[in-house]
Amino acid sequence: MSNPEPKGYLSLILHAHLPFVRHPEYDNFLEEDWLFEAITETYIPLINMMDGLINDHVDFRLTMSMTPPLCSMLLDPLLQGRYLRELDKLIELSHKEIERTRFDAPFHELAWFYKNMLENCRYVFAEKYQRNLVSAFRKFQDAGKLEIITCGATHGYLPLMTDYPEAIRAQILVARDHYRECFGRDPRGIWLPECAYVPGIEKFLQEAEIRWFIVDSHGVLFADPKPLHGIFAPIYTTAGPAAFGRDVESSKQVWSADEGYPGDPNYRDFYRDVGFDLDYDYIRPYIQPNGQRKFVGLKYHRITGRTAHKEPYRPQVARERTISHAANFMFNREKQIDHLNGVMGRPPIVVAPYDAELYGHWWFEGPQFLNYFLRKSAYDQTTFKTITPAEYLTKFPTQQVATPSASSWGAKGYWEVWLEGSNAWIYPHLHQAAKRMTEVARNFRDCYGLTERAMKQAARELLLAQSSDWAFIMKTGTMVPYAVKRTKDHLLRFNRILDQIEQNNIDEAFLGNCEWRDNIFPNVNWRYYL
Amino acid sequence: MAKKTSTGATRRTAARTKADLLLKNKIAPAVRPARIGRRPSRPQDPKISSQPVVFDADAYKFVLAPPPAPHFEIPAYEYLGELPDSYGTRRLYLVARDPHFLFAYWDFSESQFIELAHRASDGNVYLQVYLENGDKIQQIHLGAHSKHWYINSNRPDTTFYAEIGIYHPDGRFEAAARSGNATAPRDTPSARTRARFVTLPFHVSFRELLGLIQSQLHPGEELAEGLARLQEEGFTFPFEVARLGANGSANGNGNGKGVDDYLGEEIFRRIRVGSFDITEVLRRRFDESVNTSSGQWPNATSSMSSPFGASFGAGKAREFFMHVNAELIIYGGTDPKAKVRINGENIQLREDGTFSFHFNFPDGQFHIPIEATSPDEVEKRGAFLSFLRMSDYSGEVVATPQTPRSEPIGRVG
Repeated sequence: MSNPEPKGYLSLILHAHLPFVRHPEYDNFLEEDWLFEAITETYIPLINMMDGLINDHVDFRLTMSMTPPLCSMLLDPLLQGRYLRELDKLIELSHKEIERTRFDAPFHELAWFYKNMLENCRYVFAEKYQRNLVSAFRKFQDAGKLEIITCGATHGYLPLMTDYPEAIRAQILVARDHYRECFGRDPRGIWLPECAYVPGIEKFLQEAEIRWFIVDSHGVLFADPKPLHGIFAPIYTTAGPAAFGRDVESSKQVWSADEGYPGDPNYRDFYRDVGFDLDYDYIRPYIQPNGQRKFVGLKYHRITGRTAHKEPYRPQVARERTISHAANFMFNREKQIDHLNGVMGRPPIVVAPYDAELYGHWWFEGPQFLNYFLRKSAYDQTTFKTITPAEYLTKFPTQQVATPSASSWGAKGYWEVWLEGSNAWIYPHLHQAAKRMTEVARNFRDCYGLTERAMKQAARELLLAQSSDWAFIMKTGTMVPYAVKRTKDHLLRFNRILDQIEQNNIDEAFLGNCEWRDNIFPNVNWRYYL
Repeated sequence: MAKKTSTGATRRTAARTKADLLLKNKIAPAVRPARIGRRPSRPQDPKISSQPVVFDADAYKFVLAPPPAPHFEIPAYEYLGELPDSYGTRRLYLVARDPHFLFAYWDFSESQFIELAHRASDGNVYLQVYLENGDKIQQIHLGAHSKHWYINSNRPDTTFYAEIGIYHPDGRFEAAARSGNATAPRDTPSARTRARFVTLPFHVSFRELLGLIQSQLHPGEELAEGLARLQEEGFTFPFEVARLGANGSANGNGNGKGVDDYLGEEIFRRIRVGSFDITEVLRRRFDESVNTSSGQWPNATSSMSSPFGASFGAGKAREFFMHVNAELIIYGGTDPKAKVRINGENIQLREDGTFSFHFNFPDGQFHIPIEATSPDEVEKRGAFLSFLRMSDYSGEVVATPQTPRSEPIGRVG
C-alpha cells in the first residue's frame, strides 16, 4: 500500500462535455450521435473502470467535470430511448458481422469483441443503472473516489461576456443550481469553459461558493505576483477561489504530436469504420436514414504505422501497450514529483486535465490506460498519491495569493479559436441578447404565470445560444451549418419571446414549441439576470 | 465557385489529388461483406470507394461523417426569420484577443454609419485606439461595410480603449462610440515576486469568512487579501493559521528558483501542448495516409451529401434539388512591416505578414487592386485581381445558405 505521507500528489481531471443536442422534432438526428458515441466509447468505459476499481478496493482519486448540458442529455428520457434504439441496431449489426466474418479469423474475433462490448454497454446502461448514468457518477462521488465539478451552464465563453456581467453570473449560478439537482450537493470546483479565465470571474465563483477552478499553465505562470511554486501549487485569487495550473509535462506525454501515447501503431485507428468500409446494401440499415454513410463505431483496424495500409486491430496487443504506457506515465510522474518535492520544500501537486471524450472516443484504449495507471499507482509506488483538488485544499489550506493571467486552453492560449473570422459575427448578437435579457428581466421582475414561463424560456434560449461549441465548430470547419443554425435559432427564438413579453402578447403555442424543443434547465432561475 | 484558403485545406486538396492518381486501379477495401440481396436494377447505388475520407482533423470531437456539400430543406415550422444585420445600438466593443492583438467590433446600422460619415469633414469614419492614459496609438479608416477590425497592438499587460468617430473641420475628433477598457494579458512572468500566503480553511464557506472579517476589510480589499493581511497582523481566527516563510515552505527550503529551472523554456512557450495538439497528430496521420494511400480508405465524396441535410431532411421523401453559392477568399503575404492596400484601403497584416479577405461572392464584376509598399517605402508590388460571377440557373436552384461575412469589395458598376 502507498506510504501515508507521499512526496507529492497527482490530480487527474477529465472534462466531460457535449453541447446540448436534442431534436424531438425529428425521428433521427445525426448530431445526437455525439452523445451516443460518447456514452458507448467514453462514459460507460469510465463507469466500468471505476466500478472495477471500487470492487477491487483500489484507492484512487479522479476528478471529472460533468457539464450541465451533458447531464441534461444523460437524464433526458427521449435521448435515453434513442441511445438504446441506436445501441440495439449496432448489436444487431455485430451479430451479422460475426456471421459475415466467419471465415476471416482476425475480423471474426473483432466482431465478437464488439458484440461483447456493445452488449455490456446495454447491460450497464439499461439494467445496472436503469438508463441514468448521472446516478453512476454520483455513486462514485458519494463513495469519495470521484470529485465531480460543474462548468458554465451551457459552456459559454465567459471572457467574451465581460461587458455583461449578469450573463457571466447566470452561467455560473444556473450551473450551480443544476449541479444541486443532479448530485444533491453544491459543486466545490468548476471547469471554466475552455479554461478561459479573465480577472474578475472569481467574484462570481465566490458568490456560488465554488472553491477552485483550472487554468492553463500560463494562467498561473504569468499570475501577479509571480507564484513561487509555479504550476505545482494552487494560488488563491483575491476573492478566495483557488486556481490550479495545468502541468505541462503530463499533458505533453499524453497528447503531444511527437511523444503522445495515442499514436502507438497497436492502438485502434479512428477513421477506418465499417460505416464506410462495407458494401452499401449491407450497411444501409445502420447508417443515416437518408442513405448517407456515417461512422457506426465498428472499427477493425489499428494505426499500424506511417502507412495507409492498415492491419487488423488486436485488442489484446493494444491492452498490453496500455499497460506499458501506464507504467511509463507513472514512472515519469514519480521522477517529476520526487524532483519537485526537493526543490519546493513541500509536496507539489501535478494537475493533469484532459478532454474526457478523448479517452475512449478518440483514444479507444484511453480508459484502459487510466485503469492500469490508477491500479499501478496505488500498489507499485509510494512517491505520489492521486488526489482531488478539493482534498488538496483541505489538506493544504495555506497558499499564495495571486491573480491569474487571462488565458484559455485553446490554440495559442487565448481567445483566438472563439473569436476570429468565421465566428466573430455572433458576438454583437449575443451581447445584444444579454443586454436585452437584463433589461426585460428588470422590467418584469415580478411577473408570474405565462409571462414567467416566457422569461424562463428566454433565459434557456440565451444560455443555449452562448455555448462556446458553436463558435468552436464554426472555426474548425466541420458541421458548420449546424452550429450556425443553432446560434441563429436560439437567438431568433429569444428575440421573438422577448418581443411578445414586451408587447404583452405571448403566443402560447410558439412558447410551448420552444419549451418542448429546448427543455434544458426546467427550473432555470431567470432572475439571476436582474 | 468556391475557393478554399486555409493551408491545411489546400494541402489536403493537393494530397487528395495525388492520392487519386495513386489510387487508380488499386484494390478494394479489405473488409468485404457478403452481397446480400443486391439488385442489379439499381446500378447507381453508391459503392465502396477507395479514396480517403475528406476530413478536417480540427474537429475530431464533433466528427460523425465526412463533410459533403450542404443541402437541406427547412420545414415551414423551422423558419424563424433572419437575424438583423445590426441593432443600431452604436456600441463599440474592444477585446484583447491575446497579448498582441486587439479585436474591435461595433454595432452601427448602415444608415447610422453613412449619416456619421456625412457629418465628417473628410467624409470618413475612423476607429481610434488609445492607451488607458488617452495616448492615441492607432487610427484606422473604416469602410461602410466593415464590422470589425484586428489591431496589432503588440503591448502585453497594457490597458486600451477605442473610439469610433469623425473629424470636424477644426480638427476636433468627435467620438460616436467608446468601448470599455480591454487589458492585454501578460506574456511573461510578473516582475512582482513578493509572495503573500493566506490560510483559507476549506470547511469554512466564503460567506462565513466574509462575515468574520467584514468589519476589518479596507475599502476595495477582497476576501483573500483581507484575510492575508489580518493573518500577518496576528488577528485571531477560529481556525488554525499556518505560518509559512516568504518562500512558502514551513521548513525554509525552496525559493522558487528550482521550479523555474525545472520548467525551463516551457515558461515562455506560447503554443502549448493540449488537447488541441491532438489535431496535429490527426493531421499528420491523415497526410501520411493520403500521400501513401493503398486505396483502402473509404471515400466521402462519392456517396455523401450533407450530414446537416440528412438531419433536417430525415423522415421526408427525397426530392431532387440543387442549390449553389460562392465565396471568395483573397490571401497573401509580404514583409510584416510593409503597408498593404486592398481596393484602396490600408489593411492590417497578421503578425507573420500574411493577410486574407473573405467574403460571400454575389453575381457581378469585381476589380480588386492590391498594393504592398516596402517598410522603407522604396519598393512597391502590385496585383490587380478581377472576378466575374454570372450565374445562370436551369430549373429550380436556390442559394446555399452562407455564414454572414463582410460585404464584397471592388464591385464594378
